[in-house]
Amino acid sequence: MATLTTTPTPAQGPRLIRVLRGTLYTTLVLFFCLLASSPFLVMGVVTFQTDQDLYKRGASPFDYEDMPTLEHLDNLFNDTRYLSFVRNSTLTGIAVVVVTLVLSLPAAWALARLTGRWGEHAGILMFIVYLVPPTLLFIPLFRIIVQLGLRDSLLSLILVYPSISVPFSTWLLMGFFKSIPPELEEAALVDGFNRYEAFWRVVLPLARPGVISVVVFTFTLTLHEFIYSLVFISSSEARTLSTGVPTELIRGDVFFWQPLLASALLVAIPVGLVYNLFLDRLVQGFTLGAVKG
Amino acid sequence: MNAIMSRWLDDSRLMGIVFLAPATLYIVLLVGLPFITALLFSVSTATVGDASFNYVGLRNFAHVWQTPAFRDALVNTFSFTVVAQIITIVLANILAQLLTAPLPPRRSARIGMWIARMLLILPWATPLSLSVVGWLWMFDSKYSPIDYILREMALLGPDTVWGPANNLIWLGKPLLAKASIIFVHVWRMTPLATVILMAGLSSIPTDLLDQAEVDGSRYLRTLFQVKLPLVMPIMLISLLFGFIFTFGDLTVVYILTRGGPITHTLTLPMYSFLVGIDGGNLAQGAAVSLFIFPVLLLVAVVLLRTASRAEIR
Amino acid sequence: MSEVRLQGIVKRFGEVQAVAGVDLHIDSGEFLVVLGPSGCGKTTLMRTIAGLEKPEEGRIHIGARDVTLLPPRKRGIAMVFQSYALYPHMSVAGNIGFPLKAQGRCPNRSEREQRVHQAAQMVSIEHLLDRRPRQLSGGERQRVAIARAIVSEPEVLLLDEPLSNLDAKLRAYARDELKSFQRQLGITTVFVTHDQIEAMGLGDRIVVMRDGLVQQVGPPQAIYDRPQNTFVATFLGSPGMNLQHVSERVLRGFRPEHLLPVAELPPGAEHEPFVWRVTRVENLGSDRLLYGHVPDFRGDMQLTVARLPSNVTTEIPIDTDCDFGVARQHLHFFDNESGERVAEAAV
Repeated sequence: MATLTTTPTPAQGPRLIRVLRGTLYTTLVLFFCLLASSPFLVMGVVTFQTDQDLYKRGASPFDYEDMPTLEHLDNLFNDTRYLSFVRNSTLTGIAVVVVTLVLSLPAAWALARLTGRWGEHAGILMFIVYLVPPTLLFIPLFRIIVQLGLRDSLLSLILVYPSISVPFSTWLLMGFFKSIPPELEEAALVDGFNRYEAFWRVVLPLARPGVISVVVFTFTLTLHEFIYSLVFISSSEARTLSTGVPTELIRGDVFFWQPLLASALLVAIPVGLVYNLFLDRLVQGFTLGAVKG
Repeated sequence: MNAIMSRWLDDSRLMGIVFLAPATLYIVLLVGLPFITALLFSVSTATVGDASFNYVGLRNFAHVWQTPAFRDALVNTFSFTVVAQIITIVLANILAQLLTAPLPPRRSARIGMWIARMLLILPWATPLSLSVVGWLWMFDSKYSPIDYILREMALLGPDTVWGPANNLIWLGKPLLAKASIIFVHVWRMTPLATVILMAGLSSIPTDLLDQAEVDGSRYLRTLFQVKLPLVMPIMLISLLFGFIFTFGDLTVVYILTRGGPITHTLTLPMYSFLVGIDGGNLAQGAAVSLFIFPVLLLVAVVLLRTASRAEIR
Repeated sequence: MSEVRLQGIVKRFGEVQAVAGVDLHIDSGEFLVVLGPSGCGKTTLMRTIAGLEKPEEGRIHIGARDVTLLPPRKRGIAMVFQSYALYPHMSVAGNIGFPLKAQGRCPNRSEREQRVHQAAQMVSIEHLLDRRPRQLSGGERQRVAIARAIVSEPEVLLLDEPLSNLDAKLRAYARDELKSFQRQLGITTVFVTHDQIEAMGLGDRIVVMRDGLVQQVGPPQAIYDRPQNTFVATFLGSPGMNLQHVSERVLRGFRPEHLLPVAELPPGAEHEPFVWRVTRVENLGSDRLLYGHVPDFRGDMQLTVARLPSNVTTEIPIDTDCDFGVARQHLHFFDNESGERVAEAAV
């Protein structure tokens, strides 16, 4: 029936306008990229500059007149407590992740499934607790930490950090649990499991993507946190990355710029990669509940 | 015995309580209790060295309120937050439009977009205290790379618009210091606001956008009358996060200026830290930080209510 | 009210040809139904007419204008989507008035309100103008979508399965209303559906599509009575036409309702005798469906269905040879290889 007449349809719009539009688009995106990454690009340049190069007034801060040097990285790893900061941050991070999972997994499930209307209110309360900034609580918490004798101990951070990560994680996991059909648990109950076994064997494995997001979020959160770490910890041995770098690598008015900026860059790159990988899931945590209804 | 046990194991109400209890208890102890302690501190004479409780009523608040530094901190905290949020939401909208635009179906375009996304997300991903150290260098009084670029563009230096000095001294002049702090907040919050907006934009059904096109709507009308109203609830959520993060932030001011020059960039969290921790006056520090609370509560309630009232499918 | 002409339309998505060369002429004021299974390219074809998709090849004319390269807003079309695509943040009045504002055709506010009111009146929803879409029932939403489509007085109205979201009872009613409404306005209408009852009931003409190609065009009865190929023969009618191999090269077809007990055949008409065993009877109230297997020329069993109207009360014994027949005029013949219709003489 259909006859095939070939009348190629010409492209729409004049070529010039399409090219201009493409160029404008690329320029704008590049501009924003540059703006966002400028301090990191500068960090990358400064890390390998010699003192002479760096402190030459009026000269371009982006040029290398001397050969790039690894001296400052060497200095950072061997002559400063940088590696100890890394270790402290990692230890704290792992411990906080464990505490957060233990507290928020069951709570999220209870809020998603078991408690009905009352659970809805509790969910909103969780969200509000998440919004309470550390600046509001650091003074009384400081007093409590001193009283408990946890000052200058990583335990103080491990104790307090979940107060930020648990509400957000619970909020995020609630969304995952709600998307698991109740029939799956009911099938497990029919198959002879009790409710706790059903949760452990059926629900948890299905919520694995949520658990991974919580691990990523909680770990980076402990890496980011500044105020509690600044207030609770004042001995250099127990400092973490976020406070150790700006306090210990700056001595009075003397800035060791190259190691300072290198240390920031060394943290930024891996965390940036991880965020990029988990971006969609992290955004879910921020927008859940906003798009329902 | 076994029967009772198994009834317990199958009681969903009991399980809800068992599952919710640890987290609730923890939050009561580490958020509720400190909050009450803060209230108690603020009506006492507590210091780091003295744990005894002397009730002094609202004297701390009255004292703090009469301090010029506190007034500065209050005004700055508000103005920094509001200005930063306005700029952030505008930039985030532009960026979200750019990043959700259809790409040419080429491999290079996809790779380019991945790199762009990585770079754009860095400000949010990096621990703030570390990236602000980067900005400290960018704003350095002698070696600032920004100053260098301005000099190269003949905007700075002898016989130029912003001359004759060779440096702007970003963090040393009141207005520039304020602008720098606002800028860093915008820089830091824009990525999060953008990705939240992008999530909102991508949840708009394509049928609606096709319908707008068939109805004869052009780009700007579709943007302002269809897309933006539909992402409004999500935009408010992102504003809420931005407002609260900025309002309660200590890091940026602490590392860049410590509130200086004099008190021109002092904020409530910074002042609270200076008084309560550096100065050891827990009572007054707590009183300062408590001023944050009603503001945050108000903002949260208003934004959440507007968001839930706004129409979305 | 304009005619629409499509010439050699090809639309590809990557490797897939969604529309593989379609020529079509839609008369001014005609109600044309595009019918086909899902994935046959019917919706893509409609989106191409709307201007939401740009064809790789071919030309589209609306009236005397070549609109192939024009954006939707310059084509003088309106479209109703399957989901109705009502703007959730606007009132009903806001939804209906949106095309007027967007096309800048009605800058005067009171005139705009008047036209919105008129359009709402035509589909009797003027009492809903202040509501939000989510406060409306499915049927009301559909009316709002139609009011929004006609308010800008388009030359062509495009409807993409607008009835599929309604429940079965409402659908029959909406069909009737839509048809009389279209007659009243006399607007050129293209209606896409996979539902043959909608197609038969609504269309002045039907276009049957498969795999991006037009299979047959014609008035509903003509297509039903003289299907051009085996696809059309089996797609239309429920159940579809019975097909049997009568030789290596030829398929013989007849509709279930034409397979009748010999006693019920129209008297005097020449008929093809047909002896078969019914294995199962389904009583649907208005008619009975008989299922059985009939050997083809090779002796392979083929499922055959007969449909007896309820006034045929003959007792049909199960698993017993029965004498049936099909009037000769109701036999169709198709080429086994191409599936195309052939004359009986060719057998």
